Amino acid sequence: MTTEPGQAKQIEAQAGDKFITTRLRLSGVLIISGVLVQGISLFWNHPLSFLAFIGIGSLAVFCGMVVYLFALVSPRKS
Amino acid sequence: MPATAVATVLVLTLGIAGLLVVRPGITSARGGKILAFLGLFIFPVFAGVLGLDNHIERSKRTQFCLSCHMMEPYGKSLRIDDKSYIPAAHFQNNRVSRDEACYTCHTDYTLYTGGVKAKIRGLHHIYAQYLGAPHQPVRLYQPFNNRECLHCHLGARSFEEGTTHGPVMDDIKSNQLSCVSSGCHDLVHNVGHLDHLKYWSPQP
Repeated sequence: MTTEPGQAKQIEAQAGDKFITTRLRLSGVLIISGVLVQGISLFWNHPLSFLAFIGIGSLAVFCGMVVYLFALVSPRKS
Repeated sequence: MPATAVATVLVLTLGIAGLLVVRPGITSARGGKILAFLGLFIFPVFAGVLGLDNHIERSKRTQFCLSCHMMEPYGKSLRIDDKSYIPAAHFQNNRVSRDEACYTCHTDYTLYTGGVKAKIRGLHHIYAQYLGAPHQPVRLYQPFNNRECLHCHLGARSFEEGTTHGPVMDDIKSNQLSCVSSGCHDLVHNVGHLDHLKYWSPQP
């Protein structure tokens, strides 16, 4: 069974959308987790709060941003 | 930076990122793409910068410094009822802000200056506090810098023209003669002798 050119393009587009969607979700989850940790650390008056802000919160946010930026520039895979 | 501004950016980031997790399909439209860029890149960067600024400002507070158990004697020394103790006299007479008493005289603490080595020292302090055996009394890594005194006293007429400081002013300014050297203002925190001293209690 052969696939018509129009159908092939549609399948490719759907696969690309799924690829972007997955990465957007992953990026969003990482950023939400990081921002929550950052927010909590701002209400915690303790020297460890700064480490939590940098070491956990900012790291998660950074990873989320990297995933998002990579999703924008990566070739779409099926 | 007020905490409310930081909280606003954090909430905006959470809202947009949450929306994109639930409905990533909105990025197929141009508006959705812009929203994603704001929520997944611009706002998190703002949140990070504002949060960092907030943390650094908060770390200057006396209450923050004294939240480490090993700093408690130093906090206690600020209430010694004897004006010859320099930190106590400055703290009790509002010569330094009571809210930022530690930072005012220790602006070169690891968080504020220094390179990677200073930051590693900061991590070592955390390790010593929670997992190791802190060294008591605490010692400065570098001799006390006269700059910490001069950023207030320099330019004051009574200080510069006085018979005590005037003749040695060049040595003071060049750090050749320490302000806290023996025979000058050598009564500082002296945490080893706190048990035998009287303390001042501020009026409520």
